[in-house]
Amino acid sequence: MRATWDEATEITAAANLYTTKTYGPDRTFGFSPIPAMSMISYAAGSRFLTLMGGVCMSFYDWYCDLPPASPMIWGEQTDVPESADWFNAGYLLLWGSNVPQTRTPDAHFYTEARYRGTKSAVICPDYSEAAKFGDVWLNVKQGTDAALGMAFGHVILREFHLDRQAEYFEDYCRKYSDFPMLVKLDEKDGRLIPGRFLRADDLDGKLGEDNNPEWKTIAWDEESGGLVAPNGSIGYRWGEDGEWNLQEKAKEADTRLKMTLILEEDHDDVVAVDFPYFGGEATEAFATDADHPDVLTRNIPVKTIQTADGEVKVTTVFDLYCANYGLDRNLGGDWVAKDYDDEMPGTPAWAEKITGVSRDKIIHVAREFAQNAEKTEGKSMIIIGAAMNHWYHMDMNYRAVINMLVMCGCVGQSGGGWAHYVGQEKLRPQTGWQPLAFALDWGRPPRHMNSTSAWYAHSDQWRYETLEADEILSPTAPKGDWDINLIDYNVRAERMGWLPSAPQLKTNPLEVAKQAKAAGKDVASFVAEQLKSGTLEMSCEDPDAPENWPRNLYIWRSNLLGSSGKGHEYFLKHLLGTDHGVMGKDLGEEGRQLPKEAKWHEEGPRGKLDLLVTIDFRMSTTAVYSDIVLPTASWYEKNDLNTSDMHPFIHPLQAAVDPAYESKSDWEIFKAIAKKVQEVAPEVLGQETDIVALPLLHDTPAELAQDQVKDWKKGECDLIPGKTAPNFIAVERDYTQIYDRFVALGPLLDKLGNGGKGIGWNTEHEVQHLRDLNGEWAEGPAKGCAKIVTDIDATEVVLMLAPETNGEVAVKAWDALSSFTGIDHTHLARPKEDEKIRFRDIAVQPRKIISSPTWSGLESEKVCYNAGYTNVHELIPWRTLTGRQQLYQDHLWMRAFGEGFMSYRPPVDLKTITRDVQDDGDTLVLNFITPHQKWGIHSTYSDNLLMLTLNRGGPVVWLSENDAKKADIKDNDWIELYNTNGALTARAVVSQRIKDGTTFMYHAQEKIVNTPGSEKTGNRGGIHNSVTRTVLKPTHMIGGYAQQSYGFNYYGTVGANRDEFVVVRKMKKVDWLDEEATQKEAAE
Amino acid sequence: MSHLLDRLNFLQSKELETFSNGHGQVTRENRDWEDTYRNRWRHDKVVRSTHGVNCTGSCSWKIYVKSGIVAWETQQTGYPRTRPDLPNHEPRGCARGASYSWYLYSANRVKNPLVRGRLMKIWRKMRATMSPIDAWTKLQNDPILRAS
Repeated sequence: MRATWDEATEITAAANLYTTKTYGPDRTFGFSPIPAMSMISYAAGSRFLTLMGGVCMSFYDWYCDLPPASPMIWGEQTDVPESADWFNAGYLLLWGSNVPQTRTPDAHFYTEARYRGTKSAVICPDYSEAAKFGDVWLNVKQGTDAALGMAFGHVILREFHLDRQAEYFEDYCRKYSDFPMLVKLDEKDGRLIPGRFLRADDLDGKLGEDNNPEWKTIAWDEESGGLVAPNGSIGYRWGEDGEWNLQEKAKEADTRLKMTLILEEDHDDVVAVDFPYFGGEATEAFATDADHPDVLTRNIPVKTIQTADGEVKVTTVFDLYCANYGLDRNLGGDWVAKDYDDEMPGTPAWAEKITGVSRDKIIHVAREFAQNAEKTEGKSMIIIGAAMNHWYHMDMNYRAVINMLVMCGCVGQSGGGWAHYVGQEKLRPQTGWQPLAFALDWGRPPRHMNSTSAWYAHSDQWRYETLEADEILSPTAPKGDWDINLIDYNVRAERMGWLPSAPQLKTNPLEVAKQAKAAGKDVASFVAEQLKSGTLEMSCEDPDAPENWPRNLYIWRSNLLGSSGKGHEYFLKHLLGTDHGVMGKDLGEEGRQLPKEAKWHEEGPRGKLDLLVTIDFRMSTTAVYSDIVLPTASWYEKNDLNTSDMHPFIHPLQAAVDPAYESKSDWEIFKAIAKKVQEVAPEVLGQETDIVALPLLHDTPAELAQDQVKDWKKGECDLIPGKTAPNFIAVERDYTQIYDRFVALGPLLDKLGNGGKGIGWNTEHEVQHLRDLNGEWAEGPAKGCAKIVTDIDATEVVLMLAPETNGEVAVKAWDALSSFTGIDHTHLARPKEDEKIRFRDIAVQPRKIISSPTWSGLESEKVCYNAGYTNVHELIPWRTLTGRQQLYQDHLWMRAFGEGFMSYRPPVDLKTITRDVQDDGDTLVLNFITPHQKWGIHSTYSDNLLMLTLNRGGPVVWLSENDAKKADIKDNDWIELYNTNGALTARAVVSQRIKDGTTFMYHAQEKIVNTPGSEKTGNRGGIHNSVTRTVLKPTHMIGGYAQQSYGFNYYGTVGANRDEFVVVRKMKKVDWLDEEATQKEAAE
Repeated sequence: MSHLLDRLNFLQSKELETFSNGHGQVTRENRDWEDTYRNRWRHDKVVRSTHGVNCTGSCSWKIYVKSGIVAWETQQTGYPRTRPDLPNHEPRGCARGASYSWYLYSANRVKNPLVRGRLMKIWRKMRATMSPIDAWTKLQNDPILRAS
């Protein structure tokens, strides 16, 4: 019902303060996605939450837009070419990206490139709008892209690296990939398997490397004829200056690294090495009649070298890599092929069987792709959407693609590379925005949480986990304690400081800080002691205990429950405690293996949240489920900033009119809440010390924390905060000054400076400019601080502090990077040193950003923005262990789960169509695919009358003609889709576009429009996520290990949802569940 | 001129002037109705904004305001030019973005703060005698109230 602003903010403030006092500040969560789309609106909420000690939830990983392959290979969240660079490509491969439909404003560059003569191949299972643009269409079976990619790679290796060595490719790979790095071969049960990278630390005398020798990888150098630790590996990044670069040097001497030991004189022996093969594990829907064992043993040339631990066999990444692709190199042995028609894992003939794409097409496309790259020095580009990234084994799909690009020298070259387009993730002025958004001007660090793990735990989706570790473990896994549930892996990861936690400690951290003070100890050692003795517990070990529930949740700029909430029905059942459609049983009821690390409660709690506050301009599905809905300004009623990865501009949102009705901008809403908190707080809270647990972060020295996996809880090592566990840091808060701090730029920027991605700079000059520009507070707790009163004030803070919008800062940032690399990079920003972009400038015209070391591309008059450009052209290392594009992943967990190298892994079996749930007579079972739609952007516009008019006026599901016929479904019939996760209802679109065996439901069609009741659940039909459930992957939890270290939205578990199957049936009776309001209801 | 006065034309000549060899004719009837069409696209100002919808398009738009109301939007055409031999960025935009202004005054707009009915009633009752923190504490400590 209608409330006043005063009432609504008072309930919210009281709830937040009660929660902070009773359970701890980290029981207040906030979820808001993609700051780039309205940076100030995001920052409003995150600034408020952080000042309170609340938790900012990640989004990019939760949406499954984050491709973990990118941090694994490049140490980079995501960096991609702008769409204008498509025009520079000679060959464009569209892989699962429907450019005309979902990248409409950029599609003209694709058309223009085609006019210019660029050739294009399109790979997608359905006859999409993009398929029509292709010179060739490869209609691959959904979920098998990695097999296709492997066969492409097989052809490229055979024709451009082995039978003939394309000079450009070889040169590029030697300098910019980990191909020359040496890998130790480990013995397991008398057999050899690829082990860790050889490091300086393994060698006698450590090659003279005293600083981080365990983080310096080794290669064979042709110049000196011996082992070297080449510049650029991550050991050079921290603790020393000047050799973290990609110059072909080691210890200041020139090197030429050897990529292969294939020549007689280069190897001592040829040995058999085991590789896992997962293709045989396919479920019925993906199975072929091929018969291969689960371990493929292939011959590898090796050198025997002396290490501190005795003799070991080593080989190059390239030699292992070629074997992994199944290429016969005249080394004898099995499981390698000379002939493309050999049905050996890796060949085009093998892939044809799995993917349904003919071997001729595979060979043809691979050859053309590489030929173009060779002739143009890397101008072959792969445009890829999130489609392939939404499978459980997304890393395999993506690594298959990235491998092709690296082998052909395309990454970092204009017109080439990896064009992964998902959401609007590129917040160009990121380092200017962070202090504002995470209140780094008042206290550090903020509380950041990876949402996938959090929602998995707190919506109790883990209680229904059907995927067991042994189903995904490699047959070649090193010995270890692998037989635990997926949530157990997450618990371990949190405990070892790999992933963040929310909440963090079972005991209120404000109380723990008091105890530490009373004991006269610093918080880190106090918490460490108490954790070791068991007096303190980490919350992750018991997510269902009432102390560990998230109690308050803010959702703004988001439709969590109507769009991105995988496992929608579990959210409703456990987090909200309302009507739901979950039809499956939990692990206890099913009698399956219970978790070993996470505590099991017989009964799953229902209704963990005390208060759900949603801020929106429209009555979305999430708003309908909320306790409080606050009306926000629309996009034409507020001032804000907007950037994208598709173009190089920064441009504004502006208030064309004042906010309509009683709405206010997000900035004003959070100011109002902050003011209310400040007013109510003295009753319960004042100045408090909070303890924040901080995981081992990427781009900080902590990324060198754990070169070995050791769990303190199991007694394998001591608990050392910030080394073997999260760090525990005291942060001072003042709940009586939340508002005062919110509207002032705090003192820490002057004191500690600003920075990002591992570099920092002094920013006093910019802070002074902001005082001059915005005015400063004359009195009060923020006396002398610059004002941030209005949303435009806030935009000026971002624009002033960011290198991308302030040339002076850009020069400082490049200069800071130069001291790491020993190469002067400031020439990249000098010409723009005097340029300062302000809000009024972009109000007149969008402005191109200034090149900054925050990103790996340049924006200039010579090249379009393209990722990896400065790595290749400025010799800045990739932020990985080897410093190169890393195609081999040697972390213990990567090897255990069989993902040291890329291979084809079929979709996993989620077992959600059980005998219990499937009704007699319902025989049509289809793979459930959720691509982006034509009549909406996520859920927005899907309830807009104009868009509804253009399509069927409500939710639809696409079926192939053949499948529809099987279930007697005709076009526009009402149908129901269900499995143990829940049920949804929609109209059928029967179309030749769709491949048999799949069904498409465009993601995020609101259930508030034209959605009838489900016959299966008796409730209103759900959203697309009503039939999905989040399933975590242990390899995404790895931390404290170079590029595999946590960063907010950079690494962590991702919300895959594409391996799901549903039962599809025609509805017998369409019930709208409408009834007249009772007199009482009507009166209210 | 009012329509009534327009019609008081008995004394005027009934002859209408023609032109173009009789193919055209000058009429004397009231043409105010044409203003509807002239005003249809008339507006008071154009403001630059965009859509915060997690769309990589990130297109800049012209927002047309008329009598204090957002009336419609069209794609911006004034992006900085690209260098020679590279097509310009515009046109950027799509049908979805072009339909956004519908939301501003639609029935689906959240117009004022809303609180779940049961919660609002309990809160107002408690707040009559209790402080905000006491009220929320009591509400949380009572399982029935918490679930309501």
